Amino acid sequence: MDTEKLREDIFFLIGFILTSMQGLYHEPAEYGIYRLLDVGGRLLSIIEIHGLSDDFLRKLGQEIEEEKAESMDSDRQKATISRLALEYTAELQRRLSIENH
Amino acid sequence: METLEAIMTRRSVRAYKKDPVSKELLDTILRAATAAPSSGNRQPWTFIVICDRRRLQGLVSLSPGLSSEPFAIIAICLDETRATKTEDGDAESMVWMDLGAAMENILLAAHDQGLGACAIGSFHEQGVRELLRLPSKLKLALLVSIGIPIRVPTGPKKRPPEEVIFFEEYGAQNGHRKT
Repeated sequence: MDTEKLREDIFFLIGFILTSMQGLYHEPAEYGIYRLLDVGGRLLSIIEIHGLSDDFLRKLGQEIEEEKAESMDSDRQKATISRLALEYTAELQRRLSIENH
Repeated sequence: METLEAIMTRRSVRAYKKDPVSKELLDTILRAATAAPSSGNRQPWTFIVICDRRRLQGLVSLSPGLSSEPFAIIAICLDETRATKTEDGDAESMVWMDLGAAMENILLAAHDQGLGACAIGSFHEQGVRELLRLPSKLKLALLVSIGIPIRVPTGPKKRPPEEVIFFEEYGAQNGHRKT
């Protein structure tokens, strides 16, 4: 793992988070949802680039990128986020079950 | 591409390939930008074109509206020394229409050339100003990302014509006001 590159990628991500927070004081409330989707996608991308990902996280990252690239549609976005949250829940339960053995 | 086809098929592209865009294509887009109309032909705009990868990384970090790193970003600035002023010393509101016209020319020219583009209004103004070393006479209005699209989004939902278009007076369709 390239620790220096990882540190740099996280540094840039912090910038995105800080400026998003500041921007949201003046932007429509629904932008907050998009910013969270975006930060999730960026974090998953960093994980992937640095070889820390797995099949589930990789697929989650791809789906988030596809949603981000689409035109703004709150109904579609809501449905996508709901589905991803359910898929995450299922994966969470699966992982917890394995750890509990 | 025909003009109307470009207008009707343009989309805001937010995901880009890492492939480069030629200087010739960028020059074509910038010529289109400067061809925009402006109040009194004052051309109050200044365009800063950023292609340096490190600067682009910095801009992406400071601009929540940029979902991914494009090949280039055009910063559209208002040169206040070229703007007509109100009695209070503020730039006349017409200048924002002028910059908007330039922005749309950039978006359409990029689309016409097979590229993707997106107008970005969410950015940390002070941070971007410092990164681009803008002098005090320039007000940063918008960023436009440009690159080769990974994917082109489907068209967004538009309001129906009868909601936004009226004839002769507000509320009237075909010359008759709705009761």
